[in-house]
Amino acid sequence: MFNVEKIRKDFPILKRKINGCPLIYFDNAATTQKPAVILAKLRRQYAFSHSNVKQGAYRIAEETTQKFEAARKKVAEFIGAGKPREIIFTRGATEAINLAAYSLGRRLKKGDRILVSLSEHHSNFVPWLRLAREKNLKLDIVKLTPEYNFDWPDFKQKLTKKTKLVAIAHISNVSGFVYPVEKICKEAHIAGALALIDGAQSAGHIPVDVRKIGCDFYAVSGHKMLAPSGIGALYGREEILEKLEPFMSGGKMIAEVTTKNVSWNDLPWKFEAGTPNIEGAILFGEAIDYLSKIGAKNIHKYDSELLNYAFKKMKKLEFVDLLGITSVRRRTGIIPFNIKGIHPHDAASWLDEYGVCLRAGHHCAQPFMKHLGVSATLRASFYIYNTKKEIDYFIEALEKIYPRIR
Amino acid sequence: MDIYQEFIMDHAKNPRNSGRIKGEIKIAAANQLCGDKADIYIKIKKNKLADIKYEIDGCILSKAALSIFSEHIKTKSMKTILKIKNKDIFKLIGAEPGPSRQKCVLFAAEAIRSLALNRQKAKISK
Repeated sequence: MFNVEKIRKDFPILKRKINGCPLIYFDNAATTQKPAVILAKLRRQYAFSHSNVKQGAYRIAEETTQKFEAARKKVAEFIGAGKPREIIFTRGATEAINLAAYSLGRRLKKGDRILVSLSEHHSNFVPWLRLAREKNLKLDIVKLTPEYNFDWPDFKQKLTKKTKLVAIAHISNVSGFVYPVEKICKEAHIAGALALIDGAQSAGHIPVDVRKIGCDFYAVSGHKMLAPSGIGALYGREEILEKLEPFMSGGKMIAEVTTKNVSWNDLPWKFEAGTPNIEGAILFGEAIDYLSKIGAKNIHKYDSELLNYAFKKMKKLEFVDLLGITSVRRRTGIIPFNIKGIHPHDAASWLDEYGVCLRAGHHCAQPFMKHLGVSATLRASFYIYNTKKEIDYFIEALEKIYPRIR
Repeated sequence: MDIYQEFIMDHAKNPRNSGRIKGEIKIAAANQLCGDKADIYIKIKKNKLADIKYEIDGCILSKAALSIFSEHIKTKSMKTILKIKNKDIFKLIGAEPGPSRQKCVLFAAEAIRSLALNRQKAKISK
């Protein structure tokens, strides 16, 4: 059973008031809030168990190493990876994609092609744009349908034998559309390309099974699913990771170093140079425990309920511009919109006066914004602790701010 | 200090000095944070800002700030313009917005100041 009132009690921030108004946090696509249990465990870990990992022959080092590796196992299980060694801890989804771009990039040659979509977040666009420029590769861009969904025929046409990598988001951080990643990966493999899926908006929001999706890489962000910031993971298929060169160099990623030579550590440590974000990783595991208790399916179901409820209400407001998106089909709780005649930044400032936190801006997706014909939009995005009552309050706040421009 | 007080709303709704000047200096200013843009046209005579016009696509704060700033700097010497600090601009508009909105107020002014600075540098190197 999904009990939102019980969940809300776990989040201290929801007790905060802004200008005497309740805090309505609708910027979950940017980052999620943290439950008290995670914060308490973070404090306990730092206060009583902190040590470095994988090197100390003493009790607390063993404890911490054990928790760190247990967290890796939890991430692997949560996203359906076959083995923990296929999970590399990173600073976030951005670093995960950069790791893949660096290590994979070394194997690409002039004339090879990379295929992304127009709606990608800069974190799954700029690394490939940069790589293409540096190595003389071709970057192909899948168009969007008039409703801003993934244009399948265009994808099929742009996927050629020269395409070496397809890099697509599981869920668009601007539109909330869930892209057909299973089909995308299948087609990519038929064409002889590898497939990387950016899961920043999906893990912890909808059920994720990387083996069912069939991707070669999957990037995950911890802070978008209750964990502290500065932790994320890259899933990579074992046989591919084995072949790739490491990303960063330094301690922990080596097997042996001489004055002339170096050999690499085993997976996944080969890709984890330096002291990792130990506490971040352990708490990432705790966040997964918290979410697993609720269940990814239940989270997705509740998210759809909130999306349906909000979208229906927003559709009725004639001053709200939903940017041409007409339905909630194949979407998650992310709603991009504008208020007619009001710049998104002014609207966000005015909503803030009522305690409503929304993102206003280009959402790190400037090519997508250009396609939408705007420089910026507002974006409301929901998570497990949001309620229909909060949506009602938000709709009222929208109705209050609109007349201010007149 | 309300960032949407009457004075600011008035300048945003009725921007002063808006428009174009042909054949003079054009500065393309942009707020990288949100993508807002302003094309600013400037006429300089004897190192004084003889005229200023602009076309802006932006929020209330950015429109009002550029309108107020343009009134303030018109007829001033480039040397004086260079001396204008951010806090002076907040004083001019009568509000200091929070960190996330300061760029809205400052981005066009920054572009004008950097033009003034580049002209001064060019003069010194001569």
